[in-house]
Amino acid sequence: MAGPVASWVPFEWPESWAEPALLRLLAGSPYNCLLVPPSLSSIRAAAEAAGFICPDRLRWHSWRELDWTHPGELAAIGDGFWPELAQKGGDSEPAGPTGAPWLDANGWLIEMARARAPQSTIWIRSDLPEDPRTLRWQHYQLAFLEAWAYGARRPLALVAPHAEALARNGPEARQSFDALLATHRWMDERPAWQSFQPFARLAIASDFTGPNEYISTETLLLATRLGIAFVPLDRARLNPSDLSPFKALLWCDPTPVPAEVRPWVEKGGTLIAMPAALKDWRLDRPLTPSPARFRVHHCGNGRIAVARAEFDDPWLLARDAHLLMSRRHDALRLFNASALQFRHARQQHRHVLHLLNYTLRPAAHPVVLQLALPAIAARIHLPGHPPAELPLRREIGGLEAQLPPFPIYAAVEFEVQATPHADA
Amino acid sequence: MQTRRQWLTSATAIAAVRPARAATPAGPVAIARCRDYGPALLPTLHSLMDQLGGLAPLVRHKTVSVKINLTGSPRERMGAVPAERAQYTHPAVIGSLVRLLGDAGARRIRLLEGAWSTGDPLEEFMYDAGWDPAALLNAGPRVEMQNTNVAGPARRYHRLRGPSPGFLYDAFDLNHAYDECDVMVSVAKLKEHATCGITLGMKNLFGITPVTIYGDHAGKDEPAPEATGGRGMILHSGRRQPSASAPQEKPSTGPKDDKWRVPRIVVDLCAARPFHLSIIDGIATMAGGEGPWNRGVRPVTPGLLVAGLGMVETDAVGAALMGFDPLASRGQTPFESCDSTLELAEARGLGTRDLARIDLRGGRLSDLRFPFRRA
Repeated sequence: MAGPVASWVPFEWPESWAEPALLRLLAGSPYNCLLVPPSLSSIRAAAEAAGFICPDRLRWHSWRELDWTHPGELAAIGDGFWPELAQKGGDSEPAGPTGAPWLDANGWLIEMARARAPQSTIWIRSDLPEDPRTLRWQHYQLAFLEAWAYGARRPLALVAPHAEALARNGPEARQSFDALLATHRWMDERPAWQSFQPFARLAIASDFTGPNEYISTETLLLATRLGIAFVPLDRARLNPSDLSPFKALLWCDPTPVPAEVRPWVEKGGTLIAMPAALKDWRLDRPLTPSPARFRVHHCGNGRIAVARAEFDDPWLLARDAHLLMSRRHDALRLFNASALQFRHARQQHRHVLHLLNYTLRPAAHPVVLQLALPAIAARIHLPGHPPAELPLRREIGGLEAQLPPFPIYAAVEFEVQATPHADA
Repeated sequence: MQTRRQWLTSATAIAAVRPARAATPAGPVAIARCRDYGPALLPTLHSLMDQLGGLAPLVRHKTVSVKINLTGSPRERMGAVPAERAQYTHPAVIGSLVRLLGDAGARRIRLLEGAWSTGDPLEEFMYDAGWDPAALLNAGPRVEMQNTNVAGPARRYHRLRGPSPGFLYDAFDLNHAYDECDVMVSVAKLKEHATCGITLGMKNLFGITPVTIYGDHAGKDEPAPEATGGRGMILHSGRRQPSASAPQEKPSTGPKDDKWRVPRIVVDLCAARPFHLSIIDGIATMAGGEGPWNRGVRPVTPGLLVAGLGMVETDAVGAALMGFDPLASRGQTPFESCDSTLELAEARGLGTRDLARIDLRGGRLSDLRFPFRRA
């Protein structure tokens, strides 16, 4: 039986593997779903006979073209990025406007997909690097750990030299493949994390499509690169009661902000929008001084920041949104983490922070996590190691933990005190 | 690298402008042991101020601008050591000073820094470092903060000019808060420096230059609308001029070597914007450089506080506490490969670096010396 799509762990069968006997490489592995090229019908038959799921009409879509209103049980995004760190930083072109090292990363895309298709299983793939010599076995771990950390799946697709080496049972390939399988098993031992919801103080709402696509999706991408934690919201699914965890809401589209959002603002939220989105809202006189690109109005205990012009620069918009909210509301900070990305997720009082290291080597200085949340205790999870207690110490900015070196991935699991202010 | 000809040129230039040391007034300097940033800090700093004659005569009914030192990114640390225990002036020192300034009757207190590569409000920069700026804003009456990389509420930069021709700059365009103040204070960290040998009260003023005009992405004709980038291209290397709207760098035969240039620019800045009070946080700091980006840096805890009324004098005492000879010149420790800011400042008439002429109060140098190179 195929079972629910959410339980499928996909593997892209290499074109060069023409022998059904190679199914032995996957026997007993976490991979239960094979994406077999149409030309290898004998492999498909043998795989199905061996109990593998072999979907025959799987369609990969561009995220821009996927029918997000009816995504189905599986939303398969075929134009993700191959996750890696551009080699240049600083002022170079690959560093981009943020000045930070340019990371080709998929977290923002998966978060957006989950917001737009919350009932669907999200898969993501991308083309492999053009030059397979640049790809090491650790890259695969980063690729599928990245997808998993954000609540999606990425099929394992081997470049031809690695597939051929594994088929020959080359010792290095075999050892590296076993390490991948071990990481998969390690992930599967933590199924609860997949149901955790993203946690941040800033919400970014849009329909992420048509004329709104550029500013909204680029803002997600650049906010990620700036290390700003956010939760994307599909405005068509917005329930104002869901806004309570947020301190600020960036409304990217010119479509009017629903009046039902106002009580959240009056309780202390900060709403950031373009004038067209607020044309039906009654606003008090703007505060002086206001930031350069916004007029800020009081609204009960909260504030409404109205842009002086249409949003047109996503990098500035991401920064402005963070500043309008104020960094004092950041739930956590990471130090010495310029080439890292993180996903903060929670379920009630249990939190997990996924940390992805795109350099594939431990940072020169230890990564330090600072928590503004009332954490009780923390544990570090590293693939290949049992969980370990992570000592927390009190510093000026909050509780801090020094993370052990990790080349690709680490997770910090912590619990916060169940107080009325735990969300504050 | 500086050629021998260039070295001789610079040495001759220093000698040519050197005034007789005896003619230079020497401001008093007070030093004290302070082992941590706990409850002993405030009374220790208070005691230092008293030893200098008290703060009230200096600041009562005055607007006081306080340049703090927050060098580099707030998210970058030396190992796991928080920035305030390594490269930043500690907020407890800043807060204690604000408290004392308020108690002494300061009319307005402005905390200032040209924070690294950003025009964001200084409060937000501090949050990024994990600090709570509210604690500083509430430490005294009428306290405000400004990131002086941008023009701020004045919306225009003010031109500050030294009393005599500078080495490389006669004047600078700066945030208004450096001009519209009665008293200027430098609150620095006791550190070595990769470019200048040491960084103390005077070098702290390098960060008063707005990156919109003096930064790597400064506007060509006018100040850039956004403040980003460091100060490498214009001030360090002299590869381009500041925005044309600001005073330009003077023609110079000196090398395009930041170890020759930066000490001179620091002195030009101190001449254009002299400070009245210098405080150096040497309680917990770093040795081997000024930030986590330097190789071989390490945390040290000298447990020292230094305060003085003379720019050069306070730095000279600071250098001596670090185990260095403040009379050292280029080629001698800690100025092995750079010019001495102390020597240049003395030559410019900004004060004396001769310990024998400095009125040292509080502790004794021999009791408090903490040799950085041996730490």
